Amino acid sequence: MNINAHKGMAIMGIKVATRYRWEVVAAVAATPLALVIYYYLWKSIYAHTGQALIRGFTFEELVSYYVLSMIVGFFTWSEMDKWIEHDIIKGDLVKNLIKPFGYISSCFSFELGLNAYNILTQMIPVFIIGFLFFKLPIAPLMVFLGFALSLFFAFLLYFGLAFLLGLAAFWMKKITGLRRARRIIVAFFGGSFIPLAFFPPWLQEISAYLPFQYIRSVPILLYQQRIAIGHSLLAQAAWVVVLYTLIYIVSRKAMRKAAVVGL
Amino acid sequence: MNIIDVKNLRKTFTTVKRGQGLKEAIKSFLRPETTTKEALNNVNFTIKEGEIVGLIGPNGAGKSTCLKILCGLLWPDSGEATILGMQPWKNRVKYVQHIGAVFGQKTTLFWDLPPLDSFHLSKDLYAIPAAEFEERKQILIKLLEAEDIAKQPTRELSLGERMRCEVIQALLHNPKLVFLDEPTIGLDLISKEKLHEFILDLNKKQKTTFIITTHDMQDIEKLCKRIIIINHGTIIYDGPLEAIKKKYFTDKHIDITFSEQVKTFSHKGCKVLTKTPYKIQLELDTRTTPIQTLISHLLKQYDVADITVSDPPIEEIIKKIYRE
Repeated sequence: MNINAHKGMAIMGIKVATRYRWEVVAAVAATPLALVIYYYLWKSIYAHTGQALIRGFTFEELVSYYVLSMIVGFFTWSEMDKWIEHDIIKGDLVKNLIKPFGYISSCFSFELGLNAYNILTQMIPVFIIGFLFFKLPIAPLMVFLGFALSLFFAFLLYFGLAFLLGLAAFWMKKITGLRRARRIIVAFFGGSFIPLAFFPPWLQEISAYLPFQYIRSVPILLYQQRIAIGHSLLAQAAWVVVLYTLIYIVSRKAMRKAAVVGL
Repeated sequence: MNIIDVKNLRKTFTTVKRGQGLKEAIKSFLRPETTTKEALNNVNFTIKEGEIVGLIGPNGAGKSTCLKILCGLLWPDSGEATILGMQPWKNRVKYVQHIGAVFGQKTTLFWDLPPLDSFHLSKDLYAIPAAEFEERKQILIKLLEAEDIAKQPTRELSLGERMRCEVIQALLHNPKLVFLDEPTIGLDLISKEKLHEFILDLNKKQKTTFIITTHDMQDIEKLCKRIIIINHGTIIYDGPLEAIKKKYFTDKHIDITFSEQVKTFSHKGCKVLTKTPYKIQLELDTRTTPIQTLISHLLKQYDVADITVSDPPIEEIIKKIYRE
């Protein structure tokens, strides 16, 4: 494995991420806005029901859940399917294939670079905003390390998912519908809209067998110390193995397809 | 020693045929009608180290397909190719390390970033030692006059500017074998000449092998001693350029603009292609009438404003070869 090649692609990712600087400003500014909306929405719900605890969450805990949800969302984010779709429709895949670097490896390092940039410009600012204005608790060091590792697994899962969808473009060419579904499903079954504890039991049952909660919900709950660290990380790792085995199988077929059909 | 050895290469494509209009679009959506097109049909050739070979042919002849297969990007249906001792499509990642490629129609640079950033990525991808990389980068940038354009985002560059950067990108890792697919599109005359000189120099000093596809006869004449002409996926000529020039480039196209009205014109060895009162286009057979004879005749007899002598387009030569 060529470490320099990975480093090079990651740096390209960071460079591409910095190209439009107003986009960053807008993203950082929009986040607190979303948090304020969630804050007042839940404030009125708690006031209306008159309960201090809904589905095991106090109001403060629920607010910090949303802060964490944003933080997790910044890092576990990938639009790889969009990049792949674009390259296939425009016939730009040549640009990747003419270079001496495996396709998924180069995509992965590139995306890691993009997201490393998000850590600096979005994740850390929102962490600080959370601590200062939304009473986000500071987790013990062990929990924090577990959270970081869980976040990395979550990134592997989201990237894998987006990459796998991107591979569908080798057959379907345009995958806009699939991409839209990916966003909504991950947000819903991942627990970004509302915590999974708010689902009816049968829906919770279904989501337990899906990988999406390991992308969003698990790192958040891990930080809030609602679930065991070791067990969560193991489950995430298992899904990583499953997903990447699938990618290995499909990507070989896809690359073969591209090489035979000629995109 | 043969650097490229291609045997019985075949490739067919299946594409969806679709007519014009809304009705056709719906029909094609419901039941796509496919056609198969033979892009390469039993292609054989060998290329020695240090050669510069021109691969020419009309649009859709299979040049680019052939080049893509040789670059390891496309798998042929059948046939073999041994290049630098490897099968290009069998082990792409390892193979492309040793080649350079420019696809005039596609970009290998990052669209949103300045070419300079893409160059530095090459350093990491091809594991080029830092000192060697800097030196080569400086030489290439200076030769192709890309100091300023390499710092602008690729998307802001004109076609010619981008092409110069593409060439730099393809040569940074000092490949033994370079594929150039229409490398001179969009280049102005000066840049084109610079690129020609540069290719010849590299070929002489480092024995770099070049395979070039182009529609520009200037490229061919300046660079290639040997050409391969391909049409409908088959090689119809493979040999020295000189031989084909002697045989087929005996005809010249001559465009004449007169300062006076000329009603009729005829001369030995000339065929009038088009004619307006002030302009005539001739096809001259230089075997019967040398160019000098015709031009001196013209200058003596008529009030000539302008004369342009050019080679007939490559398509016509191919047509001729094909007819035989």
